[in-house]
Amino acid sequence: MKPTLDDLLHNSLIATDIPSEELNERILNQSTQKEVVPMRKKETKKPWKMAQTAAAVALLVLVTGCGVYAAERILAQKQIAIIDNETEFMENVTETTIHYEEFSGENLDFADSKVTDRTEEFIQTSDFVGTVTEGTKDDLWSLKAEEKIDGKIEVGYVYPKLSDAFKDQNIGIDLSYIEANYPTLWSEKACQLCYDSRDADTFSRGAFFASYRKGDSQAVSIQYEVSDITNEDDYIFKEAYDSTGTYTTADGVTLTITSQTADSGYTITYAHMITEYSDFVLTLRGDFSEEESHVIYDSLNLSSICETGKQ
Amino acid sequence: MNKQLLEHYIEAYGTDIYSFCIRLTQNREQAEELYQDTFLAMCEKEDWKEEGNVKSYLLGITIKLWQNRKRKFAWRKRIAAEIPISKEQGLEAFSADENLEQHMVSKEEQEAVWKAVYKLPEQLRIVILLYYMEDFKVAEIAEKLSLSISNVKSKLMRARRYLKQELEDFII
Repeated sequence: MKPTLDDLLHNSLIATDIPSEELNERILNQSTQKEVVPMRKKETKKPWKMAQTAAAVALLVLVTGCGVYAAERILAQKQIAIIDNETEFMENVTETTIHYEEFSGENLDFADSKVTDRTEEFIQTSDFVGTVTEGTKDDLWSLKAEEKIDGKIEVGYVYPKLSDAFKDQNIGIDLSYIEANYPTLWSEKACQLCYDSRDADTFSRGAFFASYRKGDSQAVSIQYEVSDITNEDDYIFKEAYDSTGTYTTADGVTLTITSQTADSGYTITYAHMITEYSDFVLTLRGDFSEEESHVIYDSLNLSSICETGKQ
Repeated sequence: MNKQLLEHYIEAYGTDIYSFCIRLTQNREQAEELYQDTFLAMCEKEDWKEEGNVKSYLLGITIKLWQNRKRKFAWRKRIAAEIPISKEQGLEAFSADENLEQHMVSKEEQEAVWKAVYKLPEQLRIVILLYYMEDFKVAEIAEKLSLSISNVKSKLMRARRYLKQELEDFII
């Protein structure tokens, strides 16, 4: 008699892989060495510094020796379509990136304490080994994290405001409306850039991230990433959201709009703009009218980071 | 943490953690590195005290390390071809102490199950591994992956739906 799916999975997915004695011995030997030389230098940090350090580490995007992405390259990118149907996709599933929303919005908790908890946990399990320094008054960035991997120095920066990072890197996304109207930074404000070498004046990978909020009922998050990995095989599944659609901004950029409703009744809306080598995601959490959302989308000047739209 | 205690944990949980690493990474070299770093990260905890489920704690470290590392692997776009573990060893090894219940699952069935599980996107595969291989409750998975319970349920549902299609010849 055939089993049920649950029985088949329970009885098939069993732990039978045994680590070699040599591997276990290596761990035991290394553990002894680590008692003498700790991997990370322990420092006493003020809580805000802990959060900033963690943000730098958590967002540390790592560099290979591949091409450099200057602002000109970003401008040349075309938008690509990404919404797809899960059932059809699964029939041809590969290593493709899938855009599911990890945050289901069960609770919209704006408390800072949760962020701190997660960052401490991250530090404990991170394999980051490097130095963290604070910026001077002449720097737009406030914190810098450096790590040496495979002979390359990889540098991550934290800026007090995301607009400072965009300004520093000649990225034309306009955050003036958001920063004026949603002023309170919600989580670790961070953006982070990486270079092939410290002397480079253009980043080879970039990850920019910030969240803002107004009171306890509205939050706006921005994430912008550029890399040399193509997004052409990415998908956003219609079924993963309550609704999907598009919106074309005043400067001609088409955003993919998806939304979910949280148990609390709040709506979480994501505006995706994905180009060949970059991802821009703006997340609205809380009570935003359609009109208010459109004002935000239109304010961003997204045509500055892709070919589509009015230049 | 002293060496004897670490040895005890490796003895007690090594197979579980290593199997999880293998199935998660699908690559022996990465699995060994992840397995090693999991135990070393545990050693680094200066004020280690055994509280609660140690295996669950170790799997939590494994997941965090892997998620962190995945970013690196993705960004580095490794040049060397990675051989999936299923091709590397053919999934032939059965443990000597497999029980009667496990005997009821044929080699063909087990291979089909792993093949289907490997096809799942990682976000779904990790949930399936924790639920079926490590016997985690939905709430535990949610905690380990920093997801909401409803999100984990949704992922389980999606994964099952796909596995059901893939394994329809083997199930009721």
